[in-house]
Amino acid sequence: MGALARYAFKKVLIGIPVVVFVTLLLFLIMKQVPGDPIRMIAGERVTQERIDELRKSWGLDQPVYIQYFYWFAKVMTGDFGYSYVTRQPVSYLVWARLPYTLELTFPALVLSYVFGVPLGVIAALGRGKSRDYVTMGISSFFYSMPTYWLGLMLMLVFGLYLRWFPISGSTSGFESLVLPMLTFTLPFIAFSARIARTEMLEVLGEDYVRTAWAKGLPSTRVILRHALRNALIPVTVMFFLDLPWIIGGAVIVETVFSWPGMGSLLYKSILRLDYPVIQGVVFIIAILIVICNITGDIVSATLDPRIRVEPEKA
Amino acid sequence: MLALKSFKETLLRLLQHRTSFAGLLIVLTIVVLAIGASVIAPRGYAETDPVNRLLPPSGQYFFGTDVLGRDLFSRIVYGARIALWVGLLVTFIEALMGVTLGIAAGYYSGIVDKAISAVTDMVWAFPPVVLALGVVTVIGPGLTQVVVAIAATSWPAFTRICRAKVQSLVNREFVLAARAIGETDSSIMARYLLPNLMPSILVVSTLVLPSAILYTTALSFLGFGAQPPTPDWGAILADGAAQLRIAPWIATFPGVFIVITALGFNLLGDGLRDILDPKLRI
Amino acid sequence: MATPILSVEGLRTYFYLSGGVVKAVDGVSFTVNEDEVFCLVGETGCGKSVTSLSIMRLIDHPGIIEEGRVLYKGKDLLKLPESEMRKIRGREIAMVFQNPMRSLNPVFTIGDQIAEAPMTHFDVPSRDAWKTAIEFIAKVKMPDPEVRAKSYPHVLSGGMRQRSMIAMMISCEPSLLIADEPTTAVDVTIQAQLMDLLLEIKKRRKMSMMLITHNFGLVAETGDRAAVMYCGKVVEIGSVADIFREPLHPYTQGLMNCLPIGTQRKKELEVIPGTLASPVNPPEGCRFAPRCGFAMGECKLHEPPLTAGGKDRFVACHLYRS
Repeated sequence: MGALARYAFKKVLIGIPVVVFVTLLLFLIMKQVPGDPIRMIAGERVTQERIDELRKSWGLDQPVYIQYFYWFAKVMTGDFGYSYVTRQPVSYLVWARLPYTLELTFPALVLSYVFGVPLGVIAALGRGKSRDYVTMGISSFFYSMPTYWLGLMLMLVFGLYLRWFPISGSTSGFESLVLPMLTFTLPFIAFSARIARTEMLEVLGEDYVRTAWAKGLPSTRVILRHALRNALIPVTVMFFLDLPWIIGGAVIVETVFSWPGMGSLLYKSILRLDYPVIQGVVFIIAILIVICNITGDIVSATLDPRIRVEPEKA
Repeated sequence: MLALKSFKETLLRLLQHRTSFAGLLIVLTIVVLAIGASVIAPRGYAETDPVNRLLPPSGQYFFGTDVLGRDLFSRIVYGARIALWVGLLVTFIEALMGVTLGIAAGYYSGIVDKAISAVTDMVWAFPPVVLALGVVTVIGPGLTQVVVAIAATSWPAFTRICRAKVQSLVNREFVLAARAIGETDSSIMARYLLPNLMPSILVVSTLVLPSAILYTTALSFLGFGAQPPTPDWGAILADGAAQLRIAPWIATFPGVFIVITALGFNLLGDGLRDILDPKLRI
Repeated sequence: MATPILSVEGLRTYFYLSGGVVKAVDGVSFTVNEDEVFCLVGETGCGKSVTSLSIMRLIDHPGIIEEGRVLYKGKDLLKLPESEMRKIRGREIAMVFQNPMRSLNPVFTIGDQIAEAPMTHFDVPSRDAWKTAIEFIAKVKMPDPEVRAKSYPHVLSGGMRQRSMIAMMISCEPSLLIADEPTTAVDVTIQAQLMDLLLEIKKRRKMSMMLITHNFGLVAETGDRAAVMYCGKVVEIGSVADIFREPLHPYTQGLMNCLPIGTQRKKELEVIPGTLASPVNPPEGCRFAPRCGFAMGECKLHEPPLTAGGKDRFVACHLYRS
């Protein structure tokens, strides 16, 4: 366990500068944007004095790197500043919405893999036959679909015509979750099926699978134990690496369905140039990416002895 | 190196392969639609006609009309032009950036490689939509801006593949031989490495293009891309979302075309990959 | 009197690729006797590996075993149902592959991988199978068997991996071991050790061995009988001593000439002119005719069948007919 722990620790150390770098970059970029947030807050008919006062109170009169330093220090204590628009603490806004986003994205991701991976494996095993073409055909179809359109169509059919599910908001409990979750899950099932199929095909062609057949092992053992076990390594790692991508999809799906999550918060903040909120959300995303990557690395080391066991100098 | 001799042979194999043949047909249809838009579309895409607003599909208006009375069919046909043009542009920029960086990283290794790889990994890990939104926030909305934004997010696909391939080639004898006779690095990269990468680059491009279209229309849908009255498919969909109850056709048809276009390129790309470089992982 | 253990008759295995049909094995016949080392010799690409894979019925899409018979202890392996064939693989006929790095599963210990075969074929419980694995690791002369059993393939050297492969394949005490270029991917010094090991195992267990190689030195040292293959066909069969002393087929003669022999140091290396025929579009008639110094008119028209050319000698060449 010692080697694994050391490996993990190393990865975490590398992660910290990544977060700093990303947020610093964002900070700097935001400062270049035309449009003065103070003016947006203060409105039109305000004296220059008042504006300068406001600027000082928000700390916006300091040089950029000082501002960043203060911001980062505050972030470490959980203080993300206040929204320019609603004056509420950013941490409150984000915290209130984070569960909604997780509630939507995490189950969607899990379900996508649970359904998608077996589909991909089945397609790979039946390579060249009809089930391969059919599965991959359907999967290509969903993979080529824009998520927002799928959302709208599902809304149309199941929300408006059939009236089975509500089409916006999160108020009706489980029912409101169905359509947005479906919108997320279907294209992702297609994606994971494709990856699973590719990896499985790759493994099935490997020499060690041929060795397993040559030993006279029963086919279930060869396929499940020898082939699948190896194919699942990259597939599982991808699960963790894809987690951040889901956030991108969340922005769109949450906006379409008026789902009160972090994605729609980000969208609205960008529209309103509400920088503290944007920075806060992006910070969370950056942390999430780093955590996911680290977890992915650790998982791949756990599953693949080639990574965690060093060759001896025999 | 491949056993393929020429463009002709690739084309022949392409036509024989089921998936790529289907993809090719679809792509050609869309290309025809785009090129012949002015001939095929019965009306202009910005022709408003408030009297005939929000009409369902009919013989006169194939896909119905939108809130300003514009013919949806014409708008979508012109939209094909935008989609293809934007897709090609984004893919081209990404390829340019990504391939250059990838070859450099694979060839030079050492600190150049580490630096490029670090940046590539970071950009790759970041959700493209968020990154693109960030870029658009800074440079403002608009179709050109969206092209830049999306191109800035997905070039790692090219970099990773080129880097891997160059790494496997760089120690081969023909490179060492070229170095030995004094060829410059850039000459080696351009004359020996790049041609070997072309098949893979082609496959990646064909598979990246539909993503580019999907992302750019997504950004237009969110309001950051094409400005009215440009008939970008994503923008039309945004209009459609607002009218979903009353005029569902506005939201339906552009999406259908996006799916078909993306599907066509994806199938074509899958087929090309089977023919040119089956081991490619993307 | 030699008793045959394996008899291949008229084997044809074709691969259906998008560029054409590759006739990798196109009418191959030979016999392997009990308790002998039989060598299948030929250049890379002549179809010897595909022949061995066909015998084991390990040919997969896009390859198909078109026709032929493979008689093992009286049964035609090509006609067996898969469940029966499964019992033969690993248990009666085993195969050691060429590239030990890629032929071992990276995520399982070699102990696990060796124990699998007895567990499958003899229903041995896992604890006993593990002990058996350790025994066999010792039998292939690897130090510290208990420790080795817990190692993963990637930490072992090439020679040790190949020994693990051998241990895996002899763990069920097969009657016939097919070794496909077992030493090609290994250092020269290790090559000798591995061959000694294989021969010792063969002697101790009275196992027959079919050695597939392109290395004539190996054939001379270890082989009892041999078959020479060219472009998917067998061109000559006989005892190793006979073939070396008096090669009949022009191709075999050419190969013998190519071998640099110590006493002829000052001469230029000989080559066989021309290149291999295309496996997709083989020429009419004898496949070696385009490169053969003795080619006659008939050679370009009709394929020479494998005919007897002496005691326990076969050759496929028009020179020796009638």
